[in-house]
Amino acid sequence: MAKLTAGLKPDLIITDINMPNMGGIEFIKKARALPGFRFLPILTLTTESQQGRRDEGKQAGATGWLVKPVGGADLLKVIKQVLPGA
Amino acid sequence: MAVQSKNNAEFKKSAWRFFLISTGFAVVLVGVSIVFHSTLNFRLGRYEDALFLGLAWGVFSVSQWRLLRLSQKTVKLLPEDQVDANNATLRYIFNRISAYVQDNLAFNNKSNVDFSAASDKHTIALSKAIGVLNTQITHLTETLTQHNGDIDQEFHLFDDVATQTAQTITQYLTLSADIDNALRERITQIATSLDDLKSKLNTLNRKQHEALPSVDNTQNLREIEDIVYLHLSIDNAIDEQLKVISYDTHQSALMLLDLMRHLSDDAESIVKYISNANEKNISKMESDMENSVKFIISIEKFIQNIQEIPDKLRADIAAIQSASGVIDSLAHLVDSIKEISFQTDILAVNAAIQAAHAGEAGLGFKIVADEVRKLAVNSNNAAEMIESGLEKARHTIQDGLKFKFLDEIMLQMNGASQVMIYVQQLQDSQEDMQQYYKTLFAVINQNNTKLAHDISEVLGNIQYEDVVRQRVERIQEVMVMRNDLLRQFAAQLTSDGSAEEIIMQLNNTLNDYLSGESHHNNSLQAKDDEDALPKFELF
Repeated sequence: MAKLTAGLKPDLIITDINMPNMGGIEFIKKARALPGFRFLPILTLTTESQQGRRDEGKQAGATGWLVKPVGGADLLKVIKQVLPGA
Repeated sequence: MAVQSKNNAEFKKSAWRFFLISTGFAVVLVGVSIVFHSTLNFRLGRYEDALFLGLAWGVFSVSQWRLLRLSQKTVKLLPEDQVDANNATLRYIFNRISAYVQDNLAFNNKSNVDFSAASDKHTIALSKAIGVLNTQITHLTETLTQHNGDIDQEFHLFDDVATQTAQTITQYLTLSADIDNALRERITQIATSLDDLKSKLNTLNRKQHEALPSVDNTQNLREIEDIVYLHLSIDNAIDEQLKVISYDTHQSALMLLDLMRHLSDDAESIVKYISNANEKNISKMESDMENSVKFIISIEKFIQNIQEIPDKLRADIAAIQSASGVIDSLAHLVDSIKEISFQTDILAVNAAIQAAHAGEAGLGFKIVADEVRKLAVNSNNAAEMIESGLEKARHTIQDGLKFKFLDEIMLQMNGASQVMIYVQQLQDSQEDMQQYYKTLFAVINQNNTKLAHDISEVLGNIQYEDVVRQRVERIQEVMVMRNDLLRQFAAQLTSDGSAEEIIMQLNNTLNDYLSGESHHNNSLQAKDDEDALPKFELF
């Protein structure tokens, strides 16, 4: 988060949900509030699968919800969907 | 005959043993019963019954005395251990009867009437049994006292008596069973009365508890039941999740094994390709390298030669300039000679003119003047010849240098052509190498792409570790909380207070655990569940 506020402009963000210090949902909310991050694709990669948690992620502004484990090929497929030029 | 006699002896011993046991049992039982009932009737004021029983007691005593005498005669036939066993049996029976007596006494204190009726019935039956028994004992005594040495006959009689005695005892035991049943009924009544007493005691106890606060054991038991149930529920929930974890781990391990096999195959194919490429091209590459080294050495020499050309040119130019300088200086000398020759000629002409003016006197001088003039002409001619020679020498030097340069240039041109060939060969060799490495890198790149793909799949599957870690951590948390609550409950058992709070916390712990676990996909259910949420979802 500190890097984002310091000016880092990634093409895509992939975040876990259960993390120390700051959870993924909170991170997505804060990232969306930053200028220039309104339409940035933010994917979650988490062990959580429950519909309630997905709804929380969606409301926070997540672009997609990936449940671990996700193989490299599947991850690339999803990334190409959210980043058509990739 | 000897064998038959031995069998008879064993038979007699057995029969006598049986007789003594059964008779001893009957005597003791009947004696005690008679004494008991006689005393009881006497105490109840039923003197006729008491007298009857007293007579029966007298008969019994006589028969017992006779039997004792008989036993004294025959006891030697019994082994000591059998005597001990009989004594033990008698003690047992006595204890039983004592117990019955105590029960009867306890009951009679409560109800004498019921007991008297049953006692009458049993007393009559017992009296009859005693009469039969007395007759049998008498008969047995007579048989024994009249024994004339025919031991077979004796024990046939014993057998008959023993059979009859056994029948009597059976009848008595039947009666005893009736007594027993009656006693049981009484015991049941006693138990009822005990229940009443217990109820009263409980009432008293409750009143005491109301007066003095204490631990409610019923409540404690209920709480212990609840806690044990919750404890087992947590264990079952953990067990279910451990099955899921085990399944996930197994599946992940299988996938990883498969991916690692792919990785190994890809890596092996790269190694094989590089190894084959090396084997095929190593000799060609070595020869190419040797040739390249030779070409480079040749080019180096050529370049050295080219680098030496300016110095040679400078030296040649200096030599030419030096030679030209010498020739020029000689040309000046020629000019001086020509000037001297011209002056000499003019001087000779003037001398001739002056000689002519002198006339005859000047004839000799005229001859000298002519000679000087010829000398001057000759000097001039010589000078021109020298000049011509010097000019030729200059041209010769210049032409020689020109040809030398041409040879040098031709030589360098040949060297340059050779160098061009070397360079071309080097270029060809380099292009071959470039093509070779390009192909090699293309193949390696292709394999690396596959390797990268396989590695990413492996990394994806390693994400199972995160799932398993979170589940195991949740199990650790719930177990720590459960153990803490159980410790609190154990401490509470020895003190006053309710465990409702602990039960509630234990229940919450179980619910929190199940709620946390429900956040994950259940692999065991998901494989059969069509409504399971997708692994990838774009909002």
